[in-house]
Amino acid sequence: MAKSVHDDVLDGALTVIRDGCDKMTACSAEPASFADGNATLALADAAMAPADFTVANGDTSGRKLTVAAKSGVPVDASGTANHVALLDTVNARLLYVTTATAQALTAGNTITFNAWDIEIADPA
Amino acid sequence: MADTGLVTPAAFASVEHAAGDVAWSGVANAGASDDSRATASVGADGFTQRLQGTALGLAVPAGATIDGVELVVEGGADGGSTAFLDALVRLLRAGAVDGDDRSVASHWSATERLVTYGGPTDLWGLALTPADVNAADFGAAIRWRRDGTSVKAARVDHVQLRVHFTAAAAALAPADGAHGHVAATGSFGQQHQLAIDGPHHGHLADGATLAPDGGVAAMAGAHAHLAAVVGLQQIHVVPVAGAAHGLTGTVPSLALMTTAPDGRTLRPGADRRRLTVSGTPPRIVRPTP
Repeated sequence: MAKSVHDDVLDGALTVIRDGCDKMTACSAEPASFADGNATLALADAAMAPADFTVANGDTSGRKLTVAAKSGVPVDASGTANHVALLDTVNARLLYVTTATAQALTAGNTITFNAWDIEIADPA
Repeated sequence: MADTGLVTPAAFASVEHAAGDVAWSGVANAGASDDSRATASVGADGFTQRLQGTALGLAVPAGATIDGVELVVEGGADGGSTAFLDALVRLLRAGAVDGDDRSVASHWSATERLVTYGGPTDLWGLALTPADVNAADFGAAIRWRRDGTSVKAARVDHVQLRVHFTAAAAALAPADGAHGHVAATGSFGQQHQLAIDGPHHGHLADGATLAPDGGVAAMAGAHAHLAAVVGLQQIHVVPVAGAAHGLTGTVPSLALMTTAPDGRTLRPGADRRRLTVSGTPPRIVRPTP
């Protein structure tokens, strides 16, 4: 007996991020709330639009959402970034948080967010 | 390339360059373009002292590359368009006159005008760092020479500097988020291990016990241990004190015991069929009971 899921089901979750995210921030700690990710812990932020996201088949299975790289993003506050948050500032939602390799940032310099992805696998 | 914008020094001073130089009076007047001027009345072929401006209050970020420095002087000569020439136009680094002299050969005119020295890619012969230009004793010095016989007044209305720099660029590598099931690898006969290479938390398919000794996961840049919980449904990966919160990079290994709390041998097919991995970064902390 096998399990399966339609791509649309998995895409439904991913497109919430794609369509709702208008800001990506580098954070100095794990943000637990929208306010954390948007301001309190944010060291740098990049404006995001649906075109910055691509939904496709997953590397392993299922579907994935690729977040495009963002370069030349000004660093607003000095600190060590170790988390990245995707935010919906219109509705004040902290959509997604991931970790990042710790990177010291200095206000006035710039940062490049490397591309990354969120993958939802098919049921096993 | 970025720049600091034109910045007016907050401190001015008249400093003797050679014996007999004429001191500037009203040096603070060089701090604004308001026709209130620093002046020095100089006789035949004489020189002014150095008019020095420092305390720019710059905040060029550490790691940035300094590309150039501009100096803008608004001034003129009282009493003729050929009364004064530049004698010295240099930067001040660590409080001392330093770098190339950017004096120009043309006379200061009787009508006040702006003269720009240096530029966006002109380092004045120096290898400047953010620390250099951010220092309170960074600035510029100018000295004029009277070109004529009678006493005339050199007038400086405003001095400004602008530092051009290229900000340092850092790269941030967000960890991919993997959600769903990852089948365990290795043998189910003794211990088995699962390589986790992303932000996950794990779920045991049944109530097996994690081995405290075998449950030590080593990661690049951080160490973590696994809480040994009987009947555990989730594997909690807990960064040790002082380690970065969250797990990134390389591979923690999760080792499972082959016996249940009641001593029976866990059967690969029934008891520990699969170690699944799903969800968000392993940030849940639960003390070991």
